[in-house]
Amino acid sequence: MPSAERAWQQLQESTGEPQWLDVPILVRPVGELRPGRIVLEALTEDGHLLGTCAVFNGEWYPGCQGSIPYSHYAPTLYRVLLARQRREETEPLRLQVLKAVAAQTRSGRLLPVLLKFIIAPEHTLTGAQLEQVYGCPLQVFYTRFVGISYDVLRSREGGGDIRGRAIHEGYRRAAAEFVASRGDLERARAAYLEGVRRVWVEWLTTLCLKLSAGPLRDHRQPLEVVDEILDYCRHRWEGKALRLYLERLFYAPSRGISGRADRIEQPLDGGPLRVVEIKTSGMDAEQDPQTGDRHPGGLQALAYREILYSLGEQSAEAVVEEIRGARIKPLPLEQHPLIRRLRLDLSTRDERVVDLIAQARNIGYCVSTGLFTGYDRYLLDRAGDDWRLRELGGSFEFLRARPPCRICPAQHRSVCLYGTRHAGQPLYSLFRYAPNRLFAYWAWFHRQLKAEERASRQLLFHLVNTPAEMLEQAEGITIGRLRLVEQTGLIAVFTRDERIETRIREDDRVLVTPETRAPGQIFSLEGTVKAMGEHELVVRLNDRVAAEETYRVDLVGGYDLREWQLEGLTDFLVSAVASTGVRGRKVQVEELPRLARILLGVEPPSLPGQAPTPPAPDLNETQRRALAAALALQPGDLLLIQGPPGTGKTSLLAHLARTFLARHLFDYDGRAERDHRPVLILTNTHRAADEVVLKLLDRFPEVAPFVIRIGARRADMDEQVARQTLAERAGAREALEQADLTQDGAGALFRLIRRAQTCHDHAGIFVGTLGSADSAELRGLSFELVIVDEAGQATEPAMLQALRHLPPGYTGRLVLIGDHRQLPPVVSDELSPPPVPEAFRQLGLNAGDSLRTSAFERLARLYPHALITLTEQYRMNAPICTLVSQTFYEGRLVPGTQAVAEQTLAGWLAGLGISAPLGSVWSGPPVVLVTTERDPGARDSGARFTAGRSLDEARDNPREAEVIATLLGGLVCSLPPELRRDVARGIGIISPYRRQNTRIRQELLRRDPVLAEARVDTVDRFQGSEREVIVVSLVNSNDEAAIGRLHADWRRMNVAISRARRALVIVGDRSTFTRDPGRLGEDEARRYYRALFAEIERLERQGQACVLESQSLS
Amino acid sequence: MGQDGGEHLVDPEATGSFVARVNRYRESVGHRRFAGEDPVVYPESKAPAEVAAAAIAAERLGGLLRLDSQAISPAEDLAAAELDAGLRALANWDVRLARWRLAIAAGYAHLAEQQQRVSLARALAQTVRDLLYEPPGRPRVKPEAPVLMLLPALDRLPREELDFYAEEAKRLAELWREASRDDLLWSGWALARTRVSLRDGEPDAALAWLLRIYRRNRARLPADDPLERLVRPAEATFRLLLPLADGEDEAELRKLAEDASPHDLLVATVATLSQVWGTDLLQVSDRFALVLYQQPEPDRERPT
Amino acid sequence: MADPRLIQQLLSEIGEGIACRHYHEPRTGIHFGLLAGLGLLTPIDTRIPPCDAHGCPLLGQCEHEADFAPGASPRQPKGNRKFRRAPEGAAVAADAALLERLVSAHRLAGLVASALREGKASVFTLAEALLEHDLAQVEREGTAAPAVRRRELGAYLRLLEALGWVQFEDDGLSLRAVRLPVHLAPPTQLCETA
Repeated sequence: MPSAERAWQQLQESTGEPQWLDVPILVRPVGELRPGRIVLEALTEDGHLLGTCAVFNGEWYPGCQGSIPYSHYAPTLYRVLLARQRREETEPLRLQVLKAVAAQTRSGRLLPVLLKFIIAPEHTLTGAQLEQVYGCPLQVFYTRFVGISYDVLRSREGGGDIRGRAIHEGYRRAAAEFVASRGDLERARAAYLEGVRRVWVEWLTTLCLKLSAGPLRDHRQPLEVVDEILDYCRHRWEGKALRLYLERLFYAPSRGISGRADRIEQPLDGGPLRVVEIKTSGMDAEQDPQTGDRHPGGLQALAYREILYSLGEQSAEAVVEEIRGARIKPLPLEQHPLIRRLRLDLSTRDERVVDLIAQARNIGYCVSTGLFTGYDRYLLDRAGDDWRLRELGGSFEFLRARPPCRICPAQHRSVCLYGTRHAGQPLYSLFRYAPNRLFAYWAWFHRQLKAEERASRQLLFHLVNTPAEMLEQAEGITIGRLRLVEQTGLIAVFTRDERIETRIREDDRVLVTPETRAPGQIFSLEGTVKAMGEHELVVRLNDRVAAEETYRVDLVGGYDLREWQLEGLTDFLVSAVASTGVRGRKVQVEELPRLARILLGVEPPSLPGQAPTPPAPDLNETQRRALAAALALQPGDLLLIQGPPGTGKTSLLAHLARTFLARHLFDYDGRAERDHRPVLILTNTHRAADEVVLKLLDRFPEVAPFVIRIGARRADMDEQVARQTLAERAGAREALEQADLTQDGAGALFRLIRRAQTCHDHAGIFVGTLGSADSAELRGLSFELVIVDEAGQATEPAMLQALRHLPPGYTGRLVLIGDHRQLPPVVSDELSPPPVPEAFRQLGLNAGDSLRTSAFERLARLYPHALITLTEQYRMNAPICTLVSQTFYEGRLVPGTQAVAEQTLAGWLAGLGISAPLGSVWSGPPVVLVTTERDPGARDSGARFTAGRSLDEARDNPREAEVIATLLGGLVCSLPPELRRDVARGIGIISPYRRQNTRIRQELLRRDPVLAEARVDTVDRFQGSEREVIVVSLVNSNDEAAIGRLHADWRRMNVAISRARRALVIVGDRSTFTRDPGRLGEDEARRYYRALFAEIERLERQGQACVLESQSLS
Repeated sequence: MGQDGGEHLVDPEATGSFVARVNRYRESVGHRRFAGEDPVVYPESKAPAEVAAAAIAAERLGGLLRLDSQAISPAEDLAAAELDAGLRALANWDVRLARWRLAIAAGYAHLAEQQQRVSLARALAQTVRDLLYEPPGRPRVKPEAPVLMLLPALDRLPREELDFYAEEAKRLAELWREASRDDLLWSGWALARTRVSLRDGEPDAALAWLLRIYRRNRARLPADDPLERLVRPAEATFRLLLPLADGEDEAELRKLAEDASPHDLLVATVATLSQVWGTDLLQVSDRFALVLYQQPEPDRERPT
Repeated sequence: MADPRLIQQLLSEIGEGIACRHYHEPRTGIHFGLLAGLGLLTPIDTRIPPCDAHGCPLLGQCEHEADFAPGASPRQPKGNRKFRRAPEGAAVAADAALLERLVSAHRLAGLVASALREGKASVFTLAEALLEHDLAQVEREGTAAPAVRRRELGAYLRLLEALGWVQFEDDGLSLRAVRLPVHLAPPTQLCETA
């Protein structure tokens, strides 16, 4: 009998005394919700009705002598249920019931009463978030839910946490090396120093924030503590057989808490597990009442210990290793002041431990998901009245004595009025007094970001509670039965016998777990996928893995990239209201700064002007007009530049940046009171940022000393671009390698910091991604001109990050460059967007829009006069250009020069020294449509992964793959062998489904091994690049004319066919894409596809295209 | 008006249905507010009961009521009343009550001038709190900072009101700093703390403050020291907390502590010290009280 | 806007009083760092008088007034913002010809002269020379803020243009030497007379 029913039964037997159950149930409120008495209908996980139960205030039950004051359980559950009712969420709420009692009511009826429980354990909170709730629940409300962040225009010293990071990294490597080399101290020391060196190089920019006359304690301490750590390792592990698990993720599905322990020691002779949490800084330390000294990290270690208990590791001991100055002080949890202050008894099942963690977990959940206030402006303001959020109950003894205001961004932005030090004019009633349109705009995007966060926070629970086969077959996010083949350093190679069918692809974040354990049970390790084969998988992990076990790999995906978008969105709300200079009353939307009024559709940007531009021979007419308009831009104004495929968008950007820098070359001084720099370029992806830097350097080499590429050196970064990062400019790597760290490490670091600060003072152009808007290089800097590249691919909150670096009151220039006819922003797809309110017409948002509508597209709709479109393109020859232009750009796109218009495949091959006659297909016109309508074998295999989060339904079409292999084989085989590689490298094959791409790769390899050089990829990964010959495989070919969710967005087709320079071959079933399916929602896409095929037929009549039947080829 | 003057018996059904109608409005508005809208309450029909229910719902929610194309803030007078109550509480050094009333006023106020007056009152609450509960002259504490920083941003309040409160905040802060150096002012401040403790019903705290005042002014008291008789029982109550010195008898101390009365000690202290200092100590203590801005022309009423 | 007559007029206007850059710079557009570099003004860095002490016309409306008030927080540096006229300043106020000697003795003279060796150079090479100069100084002494800042170099170049020694060309992107006085010719190594 499942545990819930058994527990319910057991409860009924012993009436009157509370029992410890620890069992999950589903509940649904019955009747009208009242704060003091909540009546619930309890069900088991699979829906069987258990009966009605109740929750009373103060953990009271009929027949109970007294009630417990300051109990948070009933009030928090009431707020959660009320909020779910308001949000019309009907599915039942999961509760992990820890303690309950079957009470005898006065009328003799037996009423089960729930006393202690954890609300919605499927929503995972991390140990750090629990620590933050324990510090100040109001800070969790302002930073985790609302998303308030530091003002990046105000310089703020960093560097304290780098000391901690260096020690962590060094200690981790030294421990691993010590155990791996069986006690070789020298290798452990070298590993430690390498760890410190690596952290210093990667985080040099944060160290540069602090101005100092000489080396500081932060620089010295990581080196002074080396010997102590090595002695400690030798003393504890000399001659012992144990295994170390480093940086392991562990997760308790029954508590909804996850965490990452620095180190877990498992003695091989079967002794108890030892969980170690390393703490360096004393900021959030806990004061010991008796001895008075301070010990950090109490609650986090307690939460990890609770996770181990709930996973059944009863005997585990938890230790906080404190690094104070040059000494290590291991502090068993029993002596931790937090435990002694609350008189907790860890040996027995002490309920106060559970209360402490349940309070932090439940209040943390209720507040950070927004169920506490929703988007009610009155409740949002009232939340700030009391930092302990008394409305949620909760005992102040389970909170810290004083809130940590010094590190709270809400206090620095004077939104929270509790802070001891007021940074500026206090913002009373921020949410009620914000203009209606600004608040509605903020709430509409905020709700969608929060929905995405909730989906990814419930992923771990989903992984643990769903059987592995279902995850692998239906959703394709898990690969089981993998054997470890070899592990060199941190790169591990797994293989298995049967074919790997999955959605996981390169650069995805995954969780590697031994199959004997559930994901997140102590032994799970995070990593990123480096390569995906048919039978093998290469993953870069954080730690070494034991070889003898079989593993499963689960797709984890990245939520954290959403957090910075939340901060960008909320920073816009706070800064726009704060810069009006009006406080204490309702702000009118007209009083907002000009750029904010433009973004909110209150007033249009000014018409693009014309400023004198320097001679730019390599720009065409429209590019020069766009450059002149950008230079003529007044502060507080906006300009939109649409760059269709191949129109030289990046070279225009390079010219604009260089000219603007030249105009303001002597107007800025590093570290003046108000540090005001000329140009900031933010892009959507790292690849695009590197491209901008490359174009800037090879077009204008004289600008090189003033360009800084934000962020640390990345593995896939071009060498020339890597040299522009601040760490490389100051020669960090060489300086730290040569210096002997143990002797004068701090001095070498200090000189390096000084050099980096000087280079930073003189820099005028900063290039980075939208996510790095609050990075250390940009802290305290405001910019005259901010350019957002690939704006069509950035979501609106991401684009708002660019505004954070405009001078106060947004008195700077903003230029958005992108193309809303190409790929939209990447947003997880199955979440239904909230309804678009009627008033949003003035914002340019239509009914079907959501987070996937980029700001560029919205503003282009709203202000067509402020949009300049580049029309001459330098990539596609005339026929392909006409096809793209007529279908997607109303015929305005034209070839830039005659040479571009007339480039042919034969011309390219002649250039390579080939004059052999080509096959029938390749010598004909450049646009070829191979239609498979009448080819019976050419049907797609149907959607394989229907459930789950990603758009990709993993269809494939073997016949099309075969046709493509035949075509390309025909082209390549007729060429002399030595030139085949170059020709193959110029070929690109695009299809929307990864499964089809793998099938095409196999067909090409079977036909001719040199064809492996041709790039086969999805549309999204082809964005931004181009090839001489492009073959597009449409795949979808079925009777019900289903084109699938990927093709439903016609912009992918525009990107696919506009990658081709000289020859374009489209292989697919024309009728599937043009027939009317009788289904809603795809009519816009159908209209474009009908136009596309009609245009091909028109080109065929002019002899510039040819349509073939696929049967005629094989 | 009470036309028929007779006893008005409450009709349960009518009340129930009316209250249900009001709750229906409140629930629908609460629902839409939870989703982020800031809705105005529209009466569903012109019927008087309906309009009354909508008006009462709007007032209870602190929202706006739509009556034939005009948006009315029905609770504006409540906001003014709560604001006045909050300011009066501040003048009586009652910070908790003031913050509670001002929070309600902030919920009701919709007119810009009223909203800014409420925000100014909340800044003054912070000032009075620092003035009262921070020891005089404590470093890094500037009681006048919240008010002075806020004033330039209050653009809808009359000039003289802003100047008045700027002067008032500076005066209080200066007085507070002065008190750390001047014994008389310090005694006045401590007396204020005593009166607050007594009002909050904490006799021991009042006794403690009175003993501190006594300790501070001991040198100035004349030889025959009239307060001695009252101070000894007060000290007895605290001496009982400490380990007994030799020669002290527990029972005798306990009897002595019985008649320790903070009120008598307060009156006696004020009388004695006023004589010693030559000025009325109560008046010195009253100088720490916040002076409220009064409208210059008595007849021009604020928008009540 | 930084030509000698305006400088002379400003110096005579300052006379013996205290000149605050937040009042004069926006009004005249002359960079005070340049005037200090030329030795015409000396910065007041100790016992800096508050604004009302020297009767500044912007009393009450200047955002920097709070920085100089007695209880101001030390976070905002108060040095290098208020100046007095130096003896050479008085001399130049009387006779503008003296200015040319001071200009060629300025610590940036060497740097500009070496950059304009071939008669013409892009403004970027000038800025890069200043960057190299700062890096060399950091390498030598390890001090934090190098003496010379970019805005001072910009003002210096505009002053040279006003004196007719150099000429900005193709929309301010490059600089051509018109007539450089012989003693301004590049000395062998960077002179540092700050």
